[in-house]
Amino acid sequence: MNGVLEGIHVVELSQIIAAPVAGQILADLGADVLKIEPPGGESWRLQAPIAPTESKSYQCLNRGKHNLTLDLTRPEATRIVHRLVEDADVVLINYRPDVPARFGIDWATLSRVNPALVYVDLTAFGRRGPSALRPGYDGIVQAVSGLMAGEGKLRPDGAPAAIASAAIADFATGMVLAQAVVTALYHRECTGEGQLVECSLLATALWLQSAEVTTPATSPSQLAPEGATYAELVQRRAAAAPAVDAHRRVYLTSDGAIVIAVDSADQRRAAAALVGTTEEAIAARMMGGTNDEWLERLAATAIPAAPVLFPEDLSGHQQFAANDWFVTLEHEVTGTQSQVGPLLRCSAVDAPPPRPAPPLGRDTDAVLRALGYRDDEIAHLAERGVIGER
Amino acid sequence: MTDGPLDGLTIVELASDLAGAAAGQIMTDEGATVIKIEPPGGDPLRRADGSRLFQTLNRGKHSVVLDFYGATSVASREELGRLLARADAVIASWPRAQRDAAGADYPAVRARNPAIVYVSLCPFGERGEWAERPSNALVMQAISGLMGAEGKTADGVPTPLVATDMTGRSAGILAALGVSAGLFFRERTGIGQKIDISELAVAAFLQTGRTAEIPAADSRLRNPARDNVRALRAAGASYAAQHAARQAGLPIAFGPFYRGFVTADGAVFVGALSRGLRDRARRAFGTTLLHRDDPRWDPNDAAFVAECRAEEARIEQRFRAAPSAHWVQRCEAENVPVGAVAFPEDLASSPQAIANDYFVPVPDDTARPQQQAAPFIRFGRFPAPSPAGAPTLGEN
Repeated sequence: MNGVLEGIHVVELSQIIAAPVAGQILADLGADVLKIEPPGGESWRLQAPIAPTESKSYQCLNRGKHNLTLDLTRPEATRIVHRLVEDADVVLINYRPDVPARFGIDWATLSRVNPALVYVDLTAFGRRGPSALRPGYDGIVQAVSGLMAGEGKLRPDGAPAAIASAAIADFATGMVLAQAVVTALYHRECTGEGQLVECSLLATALWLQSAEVTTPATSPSQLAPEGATYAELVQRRAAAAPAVDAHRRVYLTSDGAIVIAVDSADQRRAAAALVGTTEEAIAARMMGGTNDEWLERLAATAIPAAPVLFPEDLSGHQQFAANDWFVTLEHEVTGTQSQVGPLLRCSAVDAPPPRPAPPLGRDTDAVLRALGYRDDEIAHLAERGVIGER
Repeated sequence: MTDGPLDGLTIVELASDLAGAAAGQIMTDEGATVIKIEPPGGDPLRRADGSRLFQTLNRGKHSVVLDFYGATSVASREELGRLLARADAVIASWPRAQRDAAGADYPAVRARNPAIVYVSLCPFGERGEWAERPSNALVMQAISGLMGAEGKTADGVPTPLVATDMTGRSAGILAALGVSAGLFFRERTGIGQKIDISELAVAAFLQTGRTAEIPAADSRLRNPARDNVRALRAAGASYAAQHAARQAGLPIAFGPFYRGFVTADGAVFVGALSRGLRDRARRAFGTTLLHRDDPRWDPNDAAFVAECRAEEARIEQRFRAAPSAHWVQRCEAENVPVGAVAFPEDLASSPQAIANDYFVPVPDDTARPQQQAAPFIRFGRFPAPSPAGAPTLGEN
């Protein structure tokens, strides 16, 4: 067998980050994932492109999938999707709530085509409410969900700045979607029942801050005078946080930076003995050595500590080599590449060999032939623009 | 307990970290019975920060206190052995030594329960120099590159991200996926297994746009900057110099079309990522600034950049002069993505959260209901979950 999800067919109608992340995780687990894109490709292919319809972003989030280009505004395209859904196990879809029904690919329609279908639906902010039809780019989700203000980064003019190190709402939601798919597949395995499963970027973003959003809670606007600026509210909120702990912070060394972060009284005693008790004393001591020297001393103790690295350092880090987390792939268009591989390692089955992301429309012909379309019919669909790149 | 797709399943949680606890919480939200094994003093999170984090992460679970190091260690190991023999799955994020002391390593567990699904979280992976080292959220932020990439500093010293424990929570979601995947496979084949997840690998994936290497994309900026940083380190240069060298490898991000603005009564964030959206944003802002859409666009031309910045400052002034609601309406009228910036403490009263039932009452340990973030997956075959509160220590 190739993966715990071998034999599971997923039809993915997705774009950008969250739903594609889910599809990639499912492909890594052995599912057959067919991503359907509009002619010209989904918008993430065009994000800082390195070839006409290839981007680094797309290639890192769509590994191992097959690809079909369809113009979903055409009735014949809807028929093709219905044919695919007859034999599919999962539909994974992210559109504004009002869109799928227009294309005949909503849950009500597809569950009639295949009553055992698992239909996992992602929206940005949920299906109801004043923002239901609003676009959900990562920065917008960060803003409305509290993540941006919770991080409290300020531009020089006092305006909010977004979290930049990771599109966390998008990536976490992608993982949530994958978990939703597999849990629903488990339920179906036990009962034969498919179902509609709903997720949103906003629901995930709230969970990411589960402690901070729980009420009763004091709004920062209640801590500050009337008319306080955004920056003042951020600062009031930060002032309510615990004071910095001398043994749970970053210190500069002569050639880098190290975090020391004790979790127990024993660790604190060990840290005090090694580096000192006050921030000033510790800072002076740490500046007197290099990162390597301090990491070696710390490694001989039970004190949690680590260097402050950059993400570009990870592929060369010995911990990544020791655990084989990077995979090297040959992309048909852009050549050799290396990226983080599958994140779950399952002992009962071999993992499917990781494969690169698909060029646009690579599998259009093969998919249609497998559905029984003749070559002349496929050519006709292409002439009429029902299908796109092949 | 909530009625859900994992109803009838029993999961034993061996976790004193956030990732394992988060995985267990997702499982209870989906209807499973989750038994959290705690030491005599209780889970470390019970003592921290007023324990909102403990209450939300451990809602709906059972608590059993076992002591593998003291006078009752033999009885404790036997009790855990009995629980594991009957369990459908285990979430194990204790360090290896602690699992061994408890008789809860995979070979021992499998010997008594071959069909069990054993999800193992090792923060740094099972192999390598770091495999046995202690981890926590701050350590993981540092070694994974997240802290360095976020670039927050105080007096030149990197400071941590605070909005959420990104890597701990992401690893928790994947561990929950591991349980579901193992259960699905077992239902098909009867076969149990061990499923391994590492938070450090997850962290690398969260930043895949920066950790992956694709020469066609990276040869001009990313790789030379990476090489500069290495050279600086080899020469013993300061963190500040390394950080500055890294910045040079990032795409330039300035301009009024994807950023936050202060308003008369708060702040908004505007996200115009395409030419079409930027044109609409220009109408919403009342500006003719072309910025990167200008044929003269040249970020190295100081005069051009100064011109752009001056107009951006005028746009900032316009935003300050009107309330957030005005700007949200202006942008929405032009179909420009926009959102008012909210504080987390205000989300429970947000119309969007209320309309979608994204908050749910959960009893806390004094049986006074809190409003907590609702389970983030809605399974159509089941009613909306109503989670039970977190357990008092050892109540089961």
